[in-house]
Amino acid sequence: MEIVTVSFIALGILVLMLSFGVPLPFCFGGALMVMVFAGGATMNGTMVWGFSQLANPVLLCIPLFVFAGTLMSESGIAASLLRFVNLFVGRIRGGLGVVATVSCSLIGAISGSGLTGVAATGPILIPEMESKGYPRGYATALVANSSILGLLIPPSVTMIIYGWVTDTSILACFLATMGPGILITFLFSVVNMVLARKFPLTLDPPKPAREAVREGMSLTARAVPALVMPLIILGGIYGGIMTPTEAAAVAVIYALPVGVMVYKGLTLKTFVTAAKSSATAVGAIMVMIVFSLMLSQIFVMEDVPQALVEGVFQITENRLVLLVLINFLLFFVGMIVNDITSIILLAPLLLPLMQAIGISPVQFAAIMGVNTAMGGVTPPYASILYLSMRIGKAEFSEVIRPAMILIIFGYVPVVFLTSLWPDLSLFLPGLFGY
Amino acid sequence: MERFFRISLAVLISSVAVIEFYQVIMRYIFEVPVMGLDEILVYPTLWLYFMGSVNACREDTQIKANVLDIFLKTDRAKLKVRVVADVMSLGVSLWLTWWAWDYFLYALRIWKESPTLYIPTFYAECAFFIGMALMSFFVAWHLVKNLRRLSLPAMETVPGAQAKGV
Repeated sequence: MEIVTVSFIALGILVLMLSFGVPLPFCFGGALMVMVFAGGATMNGTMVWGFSQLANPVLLCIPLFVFAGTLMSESGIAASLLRFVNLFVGRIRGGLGVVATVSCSLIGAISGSGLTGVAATGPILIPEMESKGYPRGYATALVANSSILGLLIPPSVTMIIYGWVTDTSILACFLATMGPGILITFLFSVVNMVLARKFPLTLDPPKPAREAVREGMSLTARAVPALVMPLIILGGIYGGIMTPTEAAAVAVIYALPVGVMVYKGLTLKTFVTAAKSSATAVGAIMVMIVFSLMLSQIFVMEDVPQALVEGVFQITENRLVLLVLINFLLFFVGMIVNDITSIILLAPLLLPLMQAIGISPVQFAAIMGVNTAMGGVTPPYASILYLSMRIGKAEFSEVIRPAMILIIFGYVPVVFLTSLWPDLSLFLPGLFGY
Repeated sequence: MERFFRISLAVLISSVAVIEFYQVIMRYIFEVPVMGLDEILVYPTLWLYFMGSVNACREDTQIKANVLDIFLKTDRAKLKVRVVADVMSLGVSLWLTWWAWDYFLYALRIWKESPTLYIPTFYAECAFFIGMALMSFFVAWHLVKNLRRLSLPAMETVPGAQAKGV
């Protein structure tokens, strides 16, 4: 049997196992079995290579960013950021929805994952929005969609993995998704302001000027330690002071005294709980990464990506058609697997094709980032939407319509702009010399 | 068991953060290079990855897609799918454990030492086999539990049907 056919059978087995609910590391293991038994690949060298990749210091920033995000969620740093953003737009009609979107972007600049955003802001924002007259389903959908911005505003775990598997600068990948992330933040805010006109909202009564200034100063002062956290991470990385891994470690250690002494949300018990849940999430990701990497390595050794490029070019060589097809593929895969899996599985396979049609690896990072982020709120695999529903106590039927409105008017335009307008993703990396 | 994982995972992830932070302080504030710290860091890091994954297997919180569940109406049908998934997971897991055992023997035979501190890397490398063996154990444990539930005439709950992700 031809190796390309075996590779497609392996991918078929992977999808079959995924559908049955087999844990992802074992799905990749199942595909590896097919490659070994039917494709004649060897596990000896692959095992040694895969394990050596796990010890790569670049990957170390993943557990540390996950841990920093969880500590932030437990410590009350997120709540302080919310109150700070609310200071500027809280009294405008629909302002609370803008608070949700902007806060999630800010939290994204600390945590690097979408679930942290939901866990940190959902329990505060969804009940608050509901009490002000927003429908519960809408509030839940808005928080879920906005939390995905954590995957686009750097640091981002998915971009670390993309940079690593495709050998692209991680800092350039971080910057590539920033433009689309800011644009989505803006679009969500606009969509929210439009939709909010129909909601029976109750606004806070205006306060006397002196009281408003005093409250503003107090909230700003209280938010300063929280605002320092993204400053440490992004300033440290882009100021050329620290590597992403070092910045993540500093963020973890910084969150401890701030969480214990300033925001008082962090105790020994919450710390241990946060550490355990972070470590469990990290373990699930990293073991999946090692097996998926082994599978990718076998594919690369067998020239599967090259065969894919040739196969696709036999169908069409039209750049626009290919870009649309790849966006649909990424969106479809994002619907059935999580963001990290999509990237590990598809980035090494599709990058040669993208380069062949003139898309740079940095722009492709943004295309993958936006598509996989959108997948996180698109059923059936919509882990972030489901977590929001659990936090917001909302039913699927009341969440899905507003979620789709936000996806259609917020994400979809940005998906196509990222593909067709390279400057959206390449301008910022270009400023930093990438 | 819960207490063991809570403490060990908290210690592992904290030690990774502390070691990395120590390196930052020494390098950028005291401007003193710390030789071999990266080599030490590999030990808690690799154990963190594998013990974290073992705990995810124990809690049944590994990342899953559960696409078929959407089309299934009854809890019993979902449980049957869960049993099939557990059987597939166990088969693959045992096969990977066998290869991890092969790697374990290779690491033991080679007995590589780290370049600066000459610490045997085997103590980090053995995490692979131990982790995989424990994962297989917990996968088998979930299979037995689900088979027992399936053998009951009236089923009460569907275990581990929730998709999780990061």
